[in-house]
Amino acid sequence: MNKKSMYGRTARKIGCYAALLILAVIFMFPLYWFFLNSFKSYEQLFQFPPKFWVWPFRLVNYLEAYMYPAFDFGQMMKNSAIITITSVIGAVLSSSVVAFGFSRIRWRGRDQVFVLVILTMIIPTEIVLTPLYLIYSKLGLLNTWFPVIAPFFFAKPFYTFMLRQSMMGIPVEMDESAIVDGCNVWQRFTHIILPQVKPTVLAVVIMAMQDQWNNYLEPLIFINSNSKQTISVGLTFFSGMNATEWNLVFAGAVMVALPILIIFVFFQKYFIQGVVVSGVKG
Amino acid sequence: MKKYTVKEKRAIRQGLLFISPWLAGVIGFTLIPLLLAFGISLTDYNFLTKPRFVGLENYITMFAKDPLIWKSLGITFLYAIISVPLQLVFGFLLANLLNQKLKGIVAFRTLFYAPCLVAVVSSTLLWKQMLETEFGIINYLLGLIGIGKVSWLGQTGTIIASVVFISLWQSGKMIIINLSGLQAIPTAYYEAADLDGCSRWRQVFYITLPMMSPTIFMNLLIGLIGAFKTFTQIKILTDGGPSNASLVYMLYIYKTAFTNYKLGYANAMSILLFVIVGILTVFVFRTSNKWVHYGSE
Repeated sequence: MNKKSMYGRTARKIGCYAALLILAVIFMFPLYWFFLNSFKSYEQLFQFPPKFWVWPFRLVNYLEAYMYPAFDFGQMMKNSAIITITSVIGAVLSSSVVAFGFSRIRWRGRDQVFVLVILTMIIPTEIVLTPLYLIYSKLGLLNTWFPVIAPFFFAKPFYTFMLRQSMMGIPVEMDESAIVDGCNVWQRFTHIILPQVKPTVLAVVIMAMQDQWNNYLEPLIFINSNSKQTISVGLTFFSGMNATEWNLVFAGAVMVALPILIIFVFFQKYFIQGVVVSGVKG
Repeated sequence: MKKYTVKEKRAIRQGLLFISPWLAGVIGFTLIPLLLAFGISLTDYNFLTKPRFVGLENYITMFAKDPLIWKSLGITFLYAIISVPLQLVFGFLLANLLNQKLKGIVAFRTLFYAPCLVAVVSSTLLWKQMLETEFGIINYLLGLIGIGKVSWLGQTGTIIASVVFISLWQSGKMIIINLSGLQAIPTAYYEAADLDGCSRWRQVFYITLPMMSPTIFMNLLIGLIGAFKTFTQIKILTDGGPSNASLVYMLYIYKTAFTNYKLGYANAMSILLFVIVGILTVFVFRTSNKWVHYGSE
């Protein structure tokens, strides 16, 4: 390698780092502001010029948000947690089974049907919200968690798509040797294929968790009692009769964001790897 | 028609058995509600009294008597036209940056993904506070470089700009999808191009872009449809205001159904959205064979 290209390479690296750093500052600043806001008093939030650092932290925001009289913060957190955990289990079970059917079993018409999966990924579920609302009200399922959780048990297209792509990458020999060993199709799924796509399963776990924990529209429409409501909708309840209590909004929002952030930090290595390995493409 | 062998039949049975959860979901959560939506769209219905059949009246009202439909469609189109290309370009460039072999690149990937972990509700509330005209940090920072106070949530253009910015900030998923597309390109291609003395820029145009076109195509579709169903951010930022300046289509449907209880009309609006999204999808698919390159498959 000659000297000139060495210099070029170094210059390129420095350029990349510079761009990454500038973007990183822009991306991180709102997050910093998010956390900082949760430690400010109401007055400090609307001080001009804004304060880039406050001391002491107003930690009591968190307590006040948690004890907010208009609704039961802890109960809503609990509701969200139960809904999210159930949905994640449903998402992993259903989409991995369906992905297996679209990748490891050869049947006529399979790939044509898979095009339909991609198409359903495109149909906005929002279109059918009002008819679903009517169906659920006829079935007496309004104001229950069912409408919010159920779709996760029926193989959401995006998760299925990711799992299918990564299952496609496993060599056929693995199935063949399993068949020789006398595995039936279900054992092939649980013992041979599923362990091979662990990173993608983990990616689906995190995405499903994030999607449901942060879900807003469906709980907003299908759940109408505070005792059953999820916390992502609850966050908008800090606007009292007169004005939004912004310091409590931020403390509450941080409490809602923390579980996901912590889990993500623990698993981020596998998560990004898992999505990248699955090679999501059309 | 070819007769199926016993083995083939068994494979089809097994295949269908495995995909049955998806099949049931599509029928239960998409197909039946869609048919029902069409049925309701032909009625006058307010939840309380029985639905009354009115034929195409809702559709006639929609096309002839309701200027808000066109206004909200206009706002939604404007948002799509601005946000989708920006998302594609930004997502592509950032993913390329994050695909460089640099020390600490994994940390950067995590960092750029992080904002999308925050619930849209929370992030929108955050931006609402940051965009506040008098006390907001954005106007303060702009003031430092001599730009006067902007009323960000005051008119259509700046509201759209704000939502575009929030969604770029939270586009972690799109970045990751792009990244996975980039990583699927065999490095041998670039090595060969290097040997031939092909410049970096030419490599981007002759290797990266064609190889990435299926991924970009996916992102285009997802982004386009995402733009048409924009709801949460606007609901929280402005609730459609001031005086409907940011009434995106989905929010108009929501208000028609759940604030005004005009279910027949809301469903006619949903059907129109379905048709629009359908036409756009077909259109994008039609043009795709001109620019999307699938590998050897």
